[in-house]
Amino acid sequence: MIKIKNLSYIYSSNKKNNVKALDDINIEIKNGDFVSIIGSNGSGKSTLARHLNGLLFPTFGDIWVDELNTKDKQHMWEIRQKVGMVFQNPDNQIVATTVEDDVAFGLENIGMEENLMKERVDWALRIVEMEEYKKSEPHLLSGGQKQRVAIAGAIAMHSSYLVLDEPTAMLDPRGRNEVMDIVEKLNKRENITIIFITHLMEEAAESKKIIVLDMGKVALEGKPGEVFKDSLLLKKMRLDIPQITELAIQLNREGFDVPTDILTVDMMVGKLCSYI
Amino acid sequence: MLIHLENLCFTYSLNMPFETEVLKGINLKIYEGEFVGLIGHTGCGKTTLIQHLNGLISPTSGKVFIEGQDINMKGINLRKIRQKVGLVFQYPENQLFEETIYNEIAFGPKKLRLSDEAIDKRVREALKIVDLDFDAYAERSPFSISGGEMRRVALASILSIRPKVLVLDEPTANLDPQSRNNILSEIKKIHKKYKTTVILVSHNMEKIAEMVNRLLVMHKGKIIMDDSPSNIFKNYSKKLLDVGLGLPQVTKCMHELKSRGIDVFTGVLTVQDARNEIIKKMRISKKMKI
Repeated sequence: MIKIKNLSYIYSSNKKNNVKALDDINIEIKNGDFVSIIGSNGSGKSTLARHLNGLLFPTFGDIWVDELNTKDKQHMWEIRQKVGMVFQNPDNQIVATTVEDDVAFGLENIGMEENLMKERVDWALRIVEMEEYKKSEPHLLSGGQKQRVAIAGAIAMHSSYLVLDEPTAMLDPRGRNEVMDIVEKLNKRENITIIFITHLMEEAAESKKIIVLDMGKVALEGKPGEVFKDSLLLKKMRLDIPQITELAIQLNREGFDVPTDILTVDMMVGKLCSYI
Repeated sequence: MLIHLENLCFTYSLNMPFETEVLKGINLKIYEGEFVGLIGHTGCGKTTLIQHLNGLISPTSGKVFIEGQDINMKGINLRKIRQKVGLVFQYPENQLFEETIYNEIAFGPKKLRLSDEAIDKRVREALKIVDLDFDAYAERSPFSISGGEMRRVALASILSIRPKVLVLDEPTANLDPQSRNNILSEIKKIHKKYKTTVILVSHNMEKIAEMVNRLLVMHKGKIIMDDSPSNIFKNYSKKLLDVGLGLPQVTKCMHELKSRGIDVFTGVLTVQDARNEIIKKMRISKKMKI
């Protein structure tokens, strides 16, 4: 479990101004969860993400990853092994000249024995469905494939938590689907806890739980169906709801018996077919 | 005719071992006042294509005409072309260079030799369009701000030139939904007010469907579709998936309904369209039951 208690983070943009990027955040992320974090630009999403594996440390409050306090410097490497990170731009996080070397990079750093390392790399590449590209040069891959390699690099460390900071923002629709499918698979089959930051409400709709950040605070928390119900409040916080949920709300308003917590095209089609 | 591409070809590393053909004979005419969407999977050549429109790249063969002028001819003043065709890059940090946001946005108008007063007016107007507060941002460094803010500054620095053609490469990729909607609706306003021709490159099918009058689909260096978005999303849903693209959620919903035997119009582009179409069908089916 990741437990965040009274977390505040203050940074100085210049000598005069102190900015409170995170303001008294309390969150518990249970093992096996799939949590999306949404919020406007500047709401604190990335700052929060960077606290989860000790890239940033709280100004006030604490974060525990499986009982280990991130402030405790002696646990830093253990925490970074437990919490994998994947960022937005795949080109900035690839370091090696072949896919397998890239995935092995973290394992080499912790001095893993070679045979075991090979096993791990194969295992990780199999899960992200990139085995056949093992010997390829990363720069020849598509955006979605690069992100899958980045994910493989993180899970090769046997991370129990994976934090993805807008991993699909630069991808085309197929790349987005590939990444979403892999993330769902990691969560369901490998029981990896997912913390997924996105600006796309359609993606957030696929998680088990959504946390909405607004001006550094947790403004809303709940299942996607519950969170998207309050579209006016979300719009106030510069957010939105998925197109298909918007359609459900409009049909409902017209007096049709369509629930307003529809999240996917499949749910909508199922409902309409029983109706028309 | 504003833009005319004639058999445009571009090959990277020509005559080298890693020679790659990126554009394979593109023929395209874009007229003044059009709002054109350009979609295609990563690596299909979209970015290379638009870099030809203001002479950032010269074709390997073929021609680029802007208002009838071959822009790769000897003696052409590319600065004049770039004042006509404004390009906002996909990675905004690649185009920012000034010390303050004010100077960044004033750079283009200065080169147009406008008066200080006129420049100031343009900077303020551009910042307003991209939803950044003048007092809070003008004197800050464009490198001390967030990715989303950089994107807006980069856009503002092109808008301040008031180009005839505005080419936007994924202008809203890391913006929150409201900033995304605001900027796109402002671009639509500019398009109407100044008759600016807009070419919008995006992976966001929902927004493309809402915004453009004409849609180009690229695949492996060629334009494989050129039609209204409604026709493309209606007639080529399977083909779009095959080339790594997708449909807006509401359009996908209509296609699914149709595949289950409900005869709905599948060329819907917005939530509004879908709502009206479904209501129409529901009322008909109700009457039949009565």
